[in-house]
Amino acid sequence: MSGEVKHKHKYTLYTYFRSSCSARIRIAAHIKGIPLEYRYIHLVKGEQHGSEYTALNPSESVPTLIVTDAKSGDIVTKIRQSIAILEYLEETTPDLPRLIPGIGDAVGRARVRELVDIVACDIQPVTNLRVLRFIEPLDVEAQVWQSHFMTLGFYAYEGLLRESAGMYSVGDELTIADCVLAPAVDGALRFGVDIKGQFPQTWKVWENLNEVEAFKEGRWDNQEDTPEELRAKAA
Amino acid sequence: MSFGKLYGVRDNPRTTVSLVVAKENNLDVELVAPRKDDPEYRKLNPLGKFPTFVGADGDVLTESIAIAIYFASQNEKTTLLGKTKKDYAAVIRWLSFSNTEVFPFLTSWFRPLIGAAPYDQKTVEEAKATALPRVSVLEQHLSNRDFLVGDHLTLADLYVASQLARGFQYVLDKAWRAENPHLTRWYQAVTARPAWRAIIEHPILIDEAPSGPLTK
Repeated sequence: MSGEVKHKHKYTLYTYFRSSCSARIRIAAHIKGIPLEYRYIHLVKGEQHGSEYTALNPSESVPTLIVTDAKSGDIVTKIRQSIAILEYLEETTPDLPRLIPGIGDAVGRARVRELVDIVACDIQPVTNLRVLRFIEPLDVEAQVWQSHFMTLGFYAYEGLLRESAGMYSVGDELTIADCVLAPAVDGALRFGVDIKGQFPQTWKVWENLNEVEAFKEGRWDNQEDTPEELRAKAA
Repeated sequence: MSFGKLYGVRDNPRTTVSLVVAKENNLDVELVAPRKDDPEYRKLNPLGKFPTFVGADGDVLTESIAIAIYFASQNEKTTLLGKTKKDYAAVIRWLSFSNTEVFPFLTSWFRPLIGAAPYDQKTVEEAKATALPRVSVLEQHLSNRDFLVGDHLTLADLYVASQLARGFQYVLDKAWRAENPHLTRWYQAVTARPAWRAIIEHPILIDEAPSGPLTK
């Protein structure tokens, strides 16, 4: 039935290559084999504040998912928060590779969600572009700020991983926690957080994720809107 | 008639030069921008690097130096490869110097700053300390001449300028340029040429190099 949903619907994602929240969706969609049509919103140029986009998403942030009926082209729904998008994709296509344990596994679901929340509530909101812009005129080095809040968050993630991790964040199956984690680690490395030295379990999971094709596909350095000098370097 | 397809992108430091040479020599080259990890592109260039040239005859050529020389040599009367054998060797000298000694270190210096590679202050400082003396060799050499080889423009000027472009865009800032006036003057002259501007409309010179990772 959900396979039908997938073909009945067309998915358009408003995305920015550097946005970790957009990357969560790109990665999950690649794992589930859901084709996304991308619309690029350049956050640094401020395209998220344009009236056309804010009418779609009053948060003036990416991602936004538009689901349309493949036949009629009518809009089925719009979703403007990345975790809500991840859960929607999961709930509408549970027969594709699962990224959240089934409804019967309340504990497993809680495990995945507490990891997701560490990144989505405790790390990303205090280290995103909006915050960096706000602190710019203040007497704080961006790198010190980023490193401080990211380190706090990864300390907690690492602690939970000691209980839950296998190959990936929760056991040996990919979950939405991994889709959220990988872009966060990419962001932390950019600001000099020593993930490898300080958070070895997180590092190991991240290295395993890097081997998964969907994570390469969804990564910031491999998008149509990634500038050439930032593109993935060939081996 | 089409001379062939060049796989790369305009502002790729190893691609710009060949597009400029094509312009200087009136070669009809089609620019194709593949994804570096595209399996079809990997068949042409196993490492997925830019650039790759596929001639109208289907023959494949990789490596930026080889492609640039091939393009330059298409015009029988060209002086881009020097007017004497000695000058030709000198042209190759600067191509090799740039590609081997300068470009890799320059790249290691700015990539962590622009978020293309993990940031580590020590690594950045080391790359900078390695790159600068190498760039200084060019500054010294240009202190009493207008071109790298001979008294006219050669491929050496186009090739080296192409590889320095990201340096001027990200780290060789106003303060550095004030201390390196000869290389700066030379770079501005080379990049002001109509053939250059036809490829890169607005060469970028950064005002102040970032002191830590950029937030953009």
